Amino acid sequence: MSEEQKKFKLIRKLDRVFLRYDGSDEEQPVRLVWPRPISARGKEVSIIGEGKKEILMLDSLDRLDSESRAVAKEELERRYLVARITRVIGTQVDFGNRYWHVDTDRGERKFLIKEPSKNMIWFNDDRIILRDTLGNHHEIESYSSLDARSRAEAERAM
Amino acid sequence: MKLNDILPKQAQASLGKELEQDESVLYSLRSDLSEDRQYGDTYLVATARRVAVLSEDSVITVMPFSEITEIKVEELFSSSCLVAVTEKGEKCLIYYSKSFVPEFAVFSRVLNDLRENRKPELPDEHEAGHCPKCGSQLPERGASCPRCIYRFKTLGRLLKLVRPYRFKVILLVMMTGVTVSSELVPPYITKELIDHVLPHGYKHQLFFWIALMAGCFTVFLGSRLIGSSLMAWLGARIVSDLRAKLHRALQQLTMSYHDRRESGQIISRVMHDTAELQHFLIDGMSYFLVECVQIVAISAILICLDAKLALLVFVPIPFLVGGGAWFWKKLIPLFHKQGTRMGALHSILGESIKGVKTIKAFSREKSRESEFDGINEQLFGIRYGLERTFVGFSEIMFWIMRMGLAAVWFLGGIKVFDSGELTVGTLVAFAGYMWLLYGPLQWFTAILNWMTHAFAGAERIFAVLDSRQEIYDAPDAISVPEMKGAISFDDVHFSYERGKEVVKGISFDIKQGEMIGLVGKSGVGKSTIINLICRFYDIDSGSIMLDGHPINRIKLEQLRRQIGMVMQDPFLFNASILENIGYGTEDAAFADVVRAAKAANAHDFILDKENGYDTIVGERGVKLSGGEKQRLSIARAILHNPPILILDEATSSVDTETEKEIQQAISRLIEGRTTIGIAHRLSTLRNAHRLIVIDDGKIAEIGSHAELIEKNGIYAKLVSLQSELSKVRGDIWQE
Repeated sequence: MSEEQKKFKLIRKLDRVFLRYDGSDEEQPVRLVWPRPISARGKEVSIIGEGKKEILMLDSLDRLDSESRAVAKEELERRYLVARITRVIGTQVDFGNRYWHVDTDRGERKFLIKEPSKNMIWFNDDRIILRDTLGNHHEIESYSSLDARSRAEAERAM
Repeated sequence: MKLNDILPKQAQASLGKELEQDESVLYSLRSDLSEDRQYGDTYLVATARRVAVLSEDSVITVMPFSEITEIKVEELFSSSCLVAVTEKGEKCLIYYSKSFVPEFAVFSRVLNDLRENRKPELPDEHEAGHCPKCGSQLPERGASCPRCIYRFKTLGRLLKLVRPYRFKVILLVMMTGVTVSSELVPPYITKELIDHVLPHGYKHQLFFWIALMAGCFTVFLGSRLIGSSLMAWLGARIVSDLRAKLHRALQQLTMSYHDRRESGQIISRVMHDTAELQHFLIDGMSYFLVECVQIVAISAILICLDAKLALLVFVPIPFLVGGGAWFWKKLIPLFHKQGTRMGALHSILGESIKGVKTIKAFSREKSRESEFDGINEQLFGIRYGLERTFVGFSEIMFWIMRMGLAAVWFLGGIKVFDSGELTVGTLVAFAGYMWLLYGPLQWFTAILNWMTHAFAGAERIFAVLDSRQEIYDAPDAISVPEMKGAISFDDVHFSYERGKEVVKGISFDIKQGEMIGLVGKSGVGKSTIINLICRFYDIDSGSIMLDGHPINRIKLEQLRRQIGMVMQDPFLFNASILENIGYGTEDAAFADVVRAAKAANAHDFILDKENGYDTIVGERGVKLSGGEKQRLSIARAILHNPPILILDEATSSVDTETEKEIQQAISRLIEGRTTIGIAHRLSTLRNAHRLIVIDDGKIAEIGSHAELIEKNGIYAKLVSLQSELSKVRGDIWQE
């Protein structure tokens, strides 16, 4: 039976996730990752075992039982910090540096973006991932849904 | 680096209740993420006995060190967390965004030291991600804050560069004075002509004033030519000196500096930033100097001529200056947008040309076209917007000036008619001075803006010059002109980026003349060990000794001169084969070069080339094959004759026949030298005296080939995998 066909459970112990195959007592520590964290976060999920080797890739979390799914969701939420921008309070362009002041679903934030061609990644002309100079990611889920003032501010820094 | 962030009072009070009487906070650090990973302040504190996590007003976790077996960093996406490993499992103590990675990496080491009752050592350096003055995120860690550039400080540093040429500067200042004076006299002459000479028909005076006017124009021309030429010389000289300094500094900066930056970025500092500065110093600075003096002088003359009318002249000034400021504020984002689109267009064009074969092979011409057209259209829109704004601004500014002029003619005219307070000549002179005054004012903001940009470039240049450089000759450096080649590692820890340890406590001894093979999977730290032996990086802790001397105390130039390297992709300079073999041994006789080339099995292929040893190898040796480059690199190492030799995948990129020739050359090369070899093809290391197997930054096995095969560990597994792979390859070929 291949790894994909075997039934398993995901269990959380403190802040670590373990995988246990049905009928086995052995639990192995695993990492859950999105294979496409920027372009398609929320799609496939890879379960990585010891030695950084992938155990299996799930098309979606629906394949898991409800308990394992809850563990997986919680773990992925923990691993991936992408603040969703709800309002652009202000932007400023100085010497090619783009300063952003935004409201996000995680609170207010100020950050700086350089080289917008590399660090402002557009998807479907509406979703934007902004990567600041220190490696933090911020997301505008829908540019067209932002209020007019936010769009005007964002436009200035794009 | 300091780890003593101030704790909020309430949090401090809550923590106080948890601590024992003789216990105090030793280290504290603020994180920007709360327990539920919202943006907010959380604090990690350490006492001698425990670690605690605090929110703004309460204690979240307290954990005694006795319960913790290890503190480690867990890297997550866009954040990280510090994990306490306990017998019960792993507990995440505190989350932090990428903004705090280096600080928490240091904190984790501090916590592990405290846990093991060791005295923590904090690094001297700290490259902050945020400006300590204004709190803004910095363009890169440790960079100066563009928002806090103090123009006069930068100007001060630039002026220091002019010190050797101070006489030229004095002459320039004098010429500026002469230029301004000669420009201000003609309107006054017009006044005299209109008021006194023409109405009375004083011909002799007419000749005098016209001669004076012509003289002023000639002096203006002369002083302008001399001044511009001086400014051009000084500007070019300063920038040339700065560029040379920058190049010198770049050669001596630490490897970690170069690792963190793309070569394009560094080249841009040397070429673009210096060119921008030169442009400003030559054109902008002379304009700025002349106009500043002129504005003050004209204002004074206007007040002297007629104070009330002068006030009227000053009315449009706020509109001109304010309008200029508003205009540049509008224009700058457009300039940036234009730059970004232009960059994107360049990139697409570059890929389209370089990748033309791939594009054609996949029939993607149409999609490339539409991608290019899309950005090209955007660029058209921006360019049009820029030009429209520019023309609009200029015309509005002219309109303001003309309205000012009309007002002066109107009120001045009334003054001439009514009271005779003002003469026609004075009014005409007023109008002349007004144009001289208004003209530069509208560009004043532009000049200030230009200055800010040029100074930002200068700041970036100074930031490179101020970056940490390798110390070639420390005052207490030991001179070891002739090394024997014994190497010893003792509990060496190293990380390229704080928090990501690559070498995790490695210890080994290599005897003089011994050949050692470093074996292991990719990314386990083999090349890093080589980098540490060459002291391209300084270790985090532990010690490396060469011939019994600590490596960081040996004179750097001497150390590197005694290490020869043959790399997988050797770097060759765009020079002749002769110069490339002799690189680092410039005083070598031609006979020695030939001997080295022969020993490296390179002589024959060199002679086969039309220009023999004078063949130019092209940029990075592009005109040579992989095997030829490799053999030149071996010849270079033979000529260099170092006691320590490093072979990093020296035969990995060549065919079997060439490999045989290179192997022969290598076996000649390693005779009598301490040699450290890295090779994925394990058969090439079979003859090493000992093999060191590295796994995840630690030593997994040490022994000879036979010993390790017998041990049946990682090495034996790697050997068996490779022989299976060779078999598979053989089967494929047979099929």
